[in-house]
Amino acid sequence: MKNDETEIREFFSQIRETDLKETEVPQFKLPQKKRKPSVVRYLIPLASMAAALLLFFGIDWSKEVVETEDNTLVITMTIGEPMNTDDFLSEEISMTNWKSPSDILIQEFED
Amino acid sequence: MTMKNSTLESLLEKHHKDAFLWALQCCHYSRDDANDVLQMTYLKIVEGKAKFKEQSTFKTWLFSVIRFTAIDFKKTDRSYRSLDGVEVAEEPEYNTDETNYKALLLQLPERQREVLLLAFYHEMTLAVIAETTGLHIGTVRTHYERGKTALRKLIQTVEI
Repeated sequence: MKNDETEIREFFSQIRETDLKETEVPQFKLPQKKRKPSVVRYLIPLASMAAALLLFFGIDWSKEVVETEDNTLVITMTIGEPMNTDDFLSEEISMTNWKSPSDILIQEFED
Repeated sequence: MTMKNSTLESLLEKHHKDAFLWALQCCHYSRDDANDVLQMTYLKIVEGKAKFKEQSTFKTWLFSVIRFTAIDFKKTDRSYRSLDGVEVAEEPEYNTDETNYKALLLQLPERQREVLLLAFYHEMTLAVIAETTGLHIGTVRTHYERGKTALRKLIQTVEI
């Protein structure tokens, strides 16, 4: 029986020999470093969004009413006698002058 | 201290062959997976996600990065595999032909196989293997001894 180390060494040297003969090692080529995404890439959409928001909320959409002579409404208030219902009650109605609505019938009867 | 890009590139090129073979061994001899793992490893190094701090030899460090990348790769590969294509696991029938060394080696538990490959194939010491695998030196020694015993039995079975 062979020495245990020698036997194993031979085993691995045979594998290595086979590998070196048969294994096709791909050509050495370093992969390209991935570019870090630029800050500008994120800044452009952010800036455009900010500009859009400023435009939208920055402008005062409530229109000012420009006063001109044509559209000015002038309300003049004068202080006068207070309006009341006294005029309607000023006529004195006497009980002797009162005529009944069926007064005419009485008159016909008298004739 | 950081290494110059040109130095790093020349070191990677120098160890490329061994790195590919190690990636192949980490990926159970799947050539496509080994290619992917090696490219992912190189990308990690190029992008500075894996940095060589010169605390070990370059080869030890590179092998360590390849090993951990292969472990991650296997995990993601498994998680995205559709269940439709998965067959019920069966014990692979390894060819016990004398020349089929790799199939024989694949019968060993993963840790034992890794330790033996690093020790005998890539000629690393147990201390360096401990650095590469991130295992305690005692654990490495245990896998080494058990692996040798198991492999010897397998070799003898084939010889009979």
